[in-house]
Amino acid sequence: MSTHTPGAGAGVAGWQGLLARQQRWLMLLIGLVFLLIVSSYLYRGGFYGQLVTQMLIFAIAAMGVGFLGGYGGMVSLGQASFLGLGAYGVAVPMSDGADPWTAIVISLVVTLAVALLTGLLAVRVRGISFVIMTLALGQILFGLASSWVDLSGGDNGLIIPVAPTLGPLDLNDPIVLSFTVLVVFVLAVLALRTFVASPFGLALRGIKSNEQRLKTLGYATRLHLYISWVISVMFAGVAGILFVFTNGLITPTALDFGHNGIVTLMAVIGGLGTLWGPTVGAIVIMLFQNYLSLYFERWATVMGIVFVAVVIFAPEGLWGLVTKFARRLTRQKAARGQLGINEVPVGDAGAETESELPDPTTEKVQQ
Amino acid sequence: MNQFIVQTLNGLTLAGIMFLVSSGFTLVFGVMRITNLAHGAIYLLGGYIAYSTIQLVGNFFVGVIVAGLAMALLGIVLERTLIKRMRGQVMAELLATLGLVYVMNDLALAVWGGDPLSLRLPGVLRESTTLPGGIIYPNGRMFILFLAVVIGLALYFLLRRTRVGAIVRAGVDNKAMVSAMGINVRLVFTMVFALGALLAGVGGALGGTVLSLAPNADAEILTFALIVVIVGGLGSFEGAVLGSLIVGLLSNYGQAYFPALAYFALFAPLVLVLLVRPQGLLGRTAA
Amino acid sequence: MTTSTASAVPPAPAAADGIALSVDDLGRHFAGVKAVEGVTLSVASGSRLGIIGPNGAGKTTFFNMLSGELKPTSGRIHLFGRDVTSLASHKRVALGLGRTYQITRVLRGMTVLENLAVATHGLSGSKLDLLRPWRRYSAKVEEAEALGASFGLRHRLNAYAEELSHGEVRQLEVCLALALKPKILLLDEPAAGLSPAERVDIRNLLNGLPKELTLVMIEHDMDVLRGAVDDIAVLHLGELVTRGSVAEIQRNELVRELYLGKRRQIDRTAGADPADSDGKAPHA
Repeated sequence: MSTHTPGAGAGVAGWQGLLARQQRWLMLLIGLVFLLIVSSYLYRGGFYGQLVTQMLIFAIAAMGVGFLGGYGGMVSLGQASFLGLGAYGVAVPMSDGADPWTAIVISLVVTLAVALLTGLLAVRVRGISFVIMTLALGQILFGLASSWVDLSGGDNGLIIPVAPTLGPLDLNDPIVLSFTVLVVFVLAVLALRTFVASPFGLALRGIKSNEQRLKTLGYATRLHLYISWVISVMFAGVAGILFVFTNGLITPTALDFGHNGIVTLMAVIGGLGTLWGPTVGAIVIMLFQNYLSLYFERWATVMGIVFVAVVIFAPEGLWGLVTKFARRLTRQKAARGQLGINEVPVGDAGAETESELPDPTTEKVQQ
Repeated sequence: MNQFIVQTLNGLTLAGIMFLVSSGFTLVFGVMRITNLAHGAIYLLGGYIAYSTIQLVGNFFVGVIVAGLAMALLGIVLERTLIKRMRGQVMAELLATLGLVYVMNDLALAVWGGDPLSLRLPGVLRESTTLPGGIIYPNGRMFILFLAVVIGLALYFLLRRTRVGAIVRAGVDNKAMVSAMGINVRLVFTMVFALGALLAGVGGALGGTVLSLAPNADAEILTFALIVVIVGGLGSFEGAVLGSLIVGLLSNYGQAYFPALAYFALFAPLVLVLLVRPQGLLGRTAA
Repeated sequence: MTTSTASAVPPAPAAADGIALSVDDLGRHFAGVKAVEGVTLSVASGSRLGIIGPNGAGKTTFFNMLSGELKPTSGRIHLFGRDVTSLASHKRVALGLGRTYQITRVLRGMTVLENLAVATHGLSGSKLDLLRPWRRYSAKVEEAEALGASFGLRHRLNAYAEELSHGEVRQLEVCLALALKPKILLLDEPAAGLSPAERVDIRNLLNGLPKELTLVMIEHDMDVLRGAVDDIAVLHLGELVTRGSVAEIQRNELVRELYLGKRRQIDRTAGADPADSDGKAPHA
């Protein structure tokens, strides 16, 4: 493995090298084909148009989980509740008569405020305790939504009568709204890609690898994790705003434990620490929920079993498997330096790293 | 004042149920480092099985025992088939148990449907007693509180006074040492996991008399258990006792006096503990 | 400050000129076990101190307190005249403290270049930049590449940390610490577990360090210490037993008895000693 001769890095010959150099273009091609397929569904609308729209929305939320969990090493189990927070952030002011744009601004501000506050707690715990804490936070938000009836409408939820208009674009037209979701999705992907490739993202991966080491390299690691937490929650909040306008309704169920788990499953099944994993996961799981369920009543059982199987047999996730396979195909280290960060899954799959590292601090950090 | 005493008693009953569930959770975590997110689903399944058994046999106590044993058996099966494949990979274990939640809840939904069920207590437990001071309080709730205390004392005795307990506690402190002592750690792990499931199952059967059994009841009880262990300290038995009391009482006062904001009553201890003592009130390891 | 007998070293004043590091009556107890007890010593700027001691002597615990990963139970630590006893790790780094670990802590899952880039951003505001790709910070990337190249990692920049050989990991470990341009560097057994050939590499690396860099190094191998340090402090059971020049320590009867006699033989075969790993107390 380590028999590298000087100069080997300069020019890797053969088709493998070519494939490696062209990987950027390959990814772009895949992205374009993806956009084309998605657009055709969205344009046709109807059941599948709605389904794809919801996939995109949940993909945005799952990206937040993937970012914090895959790059920062902190897997959140409260993301659907933050999605719900974003949705209620719109629905509550609108039911008090606010216009849609005001409601959107209020929602963003509220979600940001909650993210800033909960972040203070989130960065105090790691590993298992972090997961448990996010789950508890999520359940508390769920509890507020179902029991603070004056504000949230209780179990009946709140109905959104009207979507905003943006110049000539009327988002009350479901197809226009769907394409707006697509635009936001693309922006979210680009943002994530940018964050991950930045010095901040690099440090985040370092923190996941060994937080203590980053401290002795001059990093206030809690600050990085705090900012990542806020970003992750904001992804959920934005998804929530899209969710409430596309569904016209928000109920506490969307914030419950089952949904929290599902958003996390999306990120994990797709692959933590990969750019496209959460999207792949959202597509797979929503197909289970909305397509398999048409033919098979016990779809949730199947989904649970598939998920357990992924955790055991493919801990790097489905997209993680794809990239691993691609990397094996273009197997030479010299090419790695030229790849964008998104094509390289972050080392070991997110879920496993902590326990595999023979690092004496692991135990301490997890508590 | 009487109203307050009644609410306090209600809070204690709730604390008793929380203790049954969270002590199992924290025991499994303390010994095996497994965060069993299916713990709530096991609670719910235990409640359902107790319900069906009571329907079948007509005896409440048989129902409770069957529920406990069935869940212990389920615990053994899960540990032997699933958990052991991921030994030591804490995050994988956690995520796998999350997958189990969907399987178990879905199957429970198929068998028992989505309507809330509740367990009927037998005979005298259905009546109420007038306590000193003229407070009328249901016997059933006092019985649950009593049972929780008895089980708690039994657990304490098991952990502190027996050889098995010594092994389990040693496992909490130093797993390598337990192996070095020539003890079958695999067996200890399986038994602890089964005990945790048994406690959850019994909790479900008892909880089903006070709280309703329905989809999502598992998530609610899991949340209670998680907050209890965060507040008390992950893996600490005494922490589970203390945490249950704090969370049970606060949660019940919240429900009684500020129903809309009851969940803030859960949030407050969680926030305070995370800010002041992230390892939990009686937790050992620093965060 | 190169006094030859340790027990007589007076407590260091808070802001002495030319003193890089001084510790005063430093102690750390783990549940009643004294890992470090009453250690008082100082290191002059630009000087090089070796620390030796048998297993469980508290050497790594001592380092962990210096770098801020472990809070002392007693005593004070001064860095360049400033009391840093309760200062967070990353802030000590900003003051010019760098360290390596006996059990190496390079960043697995990341390439050598990425490891070094993390380090070169460590003390600049750019570490919080979310928008510009880190590869476009060409000055930082070049700095990282140059650093790797100057310590024998030129052709391994794109290798993942977990693919490196043991010796290369040690080199990367030192590079990471140096990337922050520390004024004082704590090296925890840089030669532990290395082959004889790799030991030569590490010695060359040590010799190549800038002369003005203050160095504190835990090391068992006298061959590595000789020529690399001016002074040696001997820790035993958490206490500072003696301090003196390399020659003095080698002549010291007590040290021979405590340490050198048996240790040198063990060292030839064992290399790293797991018992003294990363600052955990020897739990009873």
